[in-house]
Amino acid sequence: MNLSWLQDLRSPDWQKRRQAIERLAQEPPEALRQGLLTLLRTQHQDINALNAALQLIARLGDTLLQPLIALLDDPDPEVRLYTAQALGLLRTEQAVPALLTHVDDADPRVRFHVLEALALIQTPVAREAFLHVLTTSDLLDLRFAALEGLAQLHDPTLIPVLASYLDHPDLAPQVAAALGQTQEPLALWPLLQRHMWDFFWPAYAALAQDVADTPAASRLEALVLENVPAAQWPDLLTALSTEMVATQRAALPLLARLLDRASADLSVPLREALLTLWRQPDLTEAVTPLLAQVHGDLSGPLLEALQTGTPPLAASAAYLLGRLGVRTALPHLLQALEDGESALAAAAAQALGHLGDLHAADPLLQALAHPAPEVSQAALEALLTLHPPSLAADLRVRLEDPHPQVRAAALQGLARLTPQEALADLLAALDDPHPQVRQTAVQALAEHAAPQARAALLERLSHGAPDLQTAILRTLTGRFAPEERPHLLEALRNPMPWVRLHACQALRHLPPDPETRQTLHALLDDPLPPVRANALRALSTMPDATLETRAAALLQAQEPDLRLAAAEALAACDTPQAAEHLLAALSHWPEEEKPFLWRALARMTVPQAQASLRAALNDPRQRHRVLEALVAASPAPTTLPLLVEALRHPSGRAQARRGWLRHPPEQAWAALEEALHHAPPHLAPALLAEARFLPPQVASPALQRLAALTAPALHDAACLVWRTWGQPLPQGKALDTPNCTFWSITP
Amino acid sequence: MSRVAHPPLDAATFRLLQQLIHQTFGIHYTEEQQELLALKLLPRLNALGLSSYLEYYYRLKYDPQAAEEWAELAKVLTVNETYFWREFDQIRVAAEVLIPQWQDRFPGRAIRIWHAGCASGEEPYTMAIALEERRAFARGVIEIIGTDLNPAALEQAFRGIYRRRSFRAIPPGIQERYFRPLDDGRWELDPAIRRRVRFFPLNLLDEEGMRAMRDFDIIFCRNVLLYFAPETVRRVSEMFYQSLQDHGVLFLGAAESLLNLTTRFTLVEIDGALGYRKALEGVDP
Repeated sequence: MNLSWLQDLRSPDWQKRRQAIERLAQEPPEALRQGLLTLLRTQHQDINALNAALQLIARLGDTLLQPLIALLDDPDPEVRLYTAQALGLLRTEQAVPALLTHVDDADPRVRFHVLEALALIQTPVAREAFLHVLTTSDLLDLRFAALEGLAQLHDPTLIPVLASYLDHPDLAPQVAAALGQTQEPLALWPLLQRHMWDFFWPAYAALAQDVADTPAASRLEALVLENVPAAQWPDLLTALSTEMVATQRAALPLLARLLDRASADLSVPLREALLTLWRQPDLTEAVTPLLAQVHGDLSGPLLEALQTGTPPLAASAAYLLGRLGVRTALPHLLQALEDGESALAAAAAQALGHLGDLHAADPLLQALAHPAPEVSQAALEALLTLHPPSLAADLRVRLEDPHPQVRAAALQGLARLTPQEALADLLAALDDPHPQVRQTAVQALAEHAAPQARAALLERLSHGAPDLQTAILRTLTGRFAPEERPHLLEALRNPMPWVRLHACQALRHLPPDPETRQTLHALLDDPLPPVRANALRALSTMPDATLETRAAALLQAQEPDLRLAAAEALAACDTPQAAEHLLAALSHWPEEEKPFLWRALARMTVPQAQASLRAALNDPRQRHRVLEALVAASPAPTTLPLLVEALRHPSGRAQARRGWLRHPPEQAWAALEEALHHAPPHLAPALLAEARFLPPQVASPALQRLAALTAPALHDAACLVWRTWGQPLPQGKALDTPNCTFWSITP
Repeated sequence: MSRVAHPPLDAATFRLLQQLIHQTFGIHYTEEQQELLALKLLPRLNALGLSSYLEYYYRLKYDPQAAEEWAELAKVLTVNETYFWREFDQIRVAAEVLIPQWQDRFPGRAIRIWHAGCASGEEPYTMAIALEERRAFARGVIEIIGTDLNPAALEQAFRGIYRRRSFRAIPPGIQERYFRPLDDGRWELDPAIRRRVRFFPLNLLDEEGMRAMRDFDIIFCRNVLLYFAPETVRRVSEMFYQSLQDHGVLFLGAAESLLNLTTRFTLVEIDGALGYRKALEGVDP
């Protein structure tokens, strides 16, 4: 190894340091061990060198674990401090026992970094240590670090103890943030009770994000809507206006619910708050549907935005003026219809349709010739909504228009207005000189009820121009009948590659048969990569040994789509060899594409795939990616046990929960109960608390039995579960105790 | 609820399009922007009659006529929203401080200003008006060049006709002095100012095209780099480095920074405006 790279970690030039990190990360870790430890021990005062070394240690993983643990006992507190940092960056549970022995280090700086390292590792084993520091330390920094550690555990049973620190003026912001990390709506109650609006929205946003797509999402909204007094909403809305955009975005569904029930007193501040959010470029689109529900006159701000706002804001204003029926907007919308910004012109057309004023009919007919297709399409839709008496005649005249897009729009309009009369026009349009008109005719004929329409399409599929064949295949994909298969097999042999490609796509929707398989296999040598990719995808519906061999070879293809299709095909093969091929690809595929390999593995049932997924779940650097794959593949019998296993880790728990809840509640509970029986004591409470996301009728009987039999450690978790179910505690059980802290702090 | 419905854009197809667009234009869409990209591409899918984003990817990558579609794509992906007098401090410094200084220091030499990613031209025209207000054109030759990826935006720039929203930050009097109202509510720029600026299309990732851009005193590239991935910013900033005179200044947008991306430039404050100078030994700022 060239040792100059190690020297470069100390370079004042950050580009050199970065290159050195990249270069050294490729070396065998054993070769670097001594150099890095020496640097940490003797050169940590050089901040450049220290940071570079820490980054490199994080990249190298567990190989440096034991020597680092030994360094935690170094007499120099600075060495211990930076060693703790390094151990935190490794994010391994194996470092936890050693770190815990230094929670009471003589040097408070070391104690601080030990707590931070434990927070990074997110281990429930450190829970008591964090609580100890929070309750006993007189150093604010250490208490902040302990709160951060508790927050990272995402443990709802901590809500009562966290809430008890909300009245501490120095700790309140961190406590509120930690409450927001508990993934349990009840955590908001202490903030609501105290009217702590300055800290409310970030906590709400964090909770909303974590419980999204779970039954707790509606519980979160209900808690706020039912417990914030009307007089407090203006302050709450004002607080929202100064939050980060992501926080504001998370609040929008709640504001939508609030709109439904807002009193007259509240409607004005709510409207103003929504307008403020709407004017922010990142929120305009999301707030638009909310403004469409607002009571009261919005015409002033909307007309102002239509004329002077940015194009997206003006487009939204145009849309809203139409939806709200602001008739005085007509001249402004007619002007916007001619705007150079096509999105604005299209929104204006849409709005003119909504307004229902027939004065807009002529300008909309003119707009059919707008160069931007989205404007032309919006104008047609608006005309069909307005339905002026002469519309059919006006459109028929335009069937002869020199602009192909006007002819296409007229054809489309007539097909919807008078389908029977339009049939002959549609059939004739299959021979229009312009492809756009021909495609429109295909789409309209595909929807037409007349048998001649289908017959004409099938005839053109065999003998039409390639663009027509492509359009027919594209339009009818998913709608071909098995007896129409010969047309598709013929298309697979078409000299035009786009026709072959679309035929492959259409065949995915038909039951497999030998001739199709044989023809598709031949297309795996097609000169055009997309045809090969789509042949692979079609063959994935009828996997065989040959497919596995071909797909394995294509995992190395240059075209990324072909690689992705090969991974899908191997997943469909679902054999041990196919899994081995996918696992091997993990070592050479580009980093950004590896999630798709995990997705493929998550769809497989063979033990090799399951084992690799389980191992990756235990690697904090891979956990999120694997969870993403498992959630995407759920519900499935193979993903359920893995997702429940992942529920034990604070990191990724919300993600795992989403996949777990995709399974039927009975199965979800059975898997959770099974895991509870095998969980170590420090992980069991968090697992038990997950029962609150299931319907009580599914989990309650077993949970009563379990709670009565198990240790006091489960008490708080069981108490929380019953509280969230809104059910009385089971009489005569260990749960039935006045010491259950959840009763005193919840509404 | 969205106002616009579109076919699904799955993670794999998003990845394919993300990579292809990044390689060609340098514009980087993050995973959080998947929905945004889907909405931006939707008009192209509709225009081409396509039913899936994967098909659009194939069209861009394998269709023999893909060049035409790339031009259309440039129109929908580039952000053309700009207005006169936007982030004016840097233009003020160029017109009041830097250019007079260089006109004194290099008499007879043309001062060259490049507005990279100028969209519909409001920024270079603001520069031209600011210089006209200070009679700078009378003191020496000043070349102003505007480039953009989007030819349609440049067409609009060349016409010099603007709607009301382009004037939302312009100081009183300027609009009336340099623009003529048209019957349809739009305003037309004084042809004398319009002739001060030359426009042509340029992709900042086109190395050959960028090599032709040399000897500039000032480069404005504002609110463009924020759409690029860090490695693309590094690449483009290196090309700007080659395009600037040693004393030259690069102005970026308020939300953009070269910090941690390159050591080739030094951040400097010039009369209250932030810019980047080449990090050279012995060059008088």
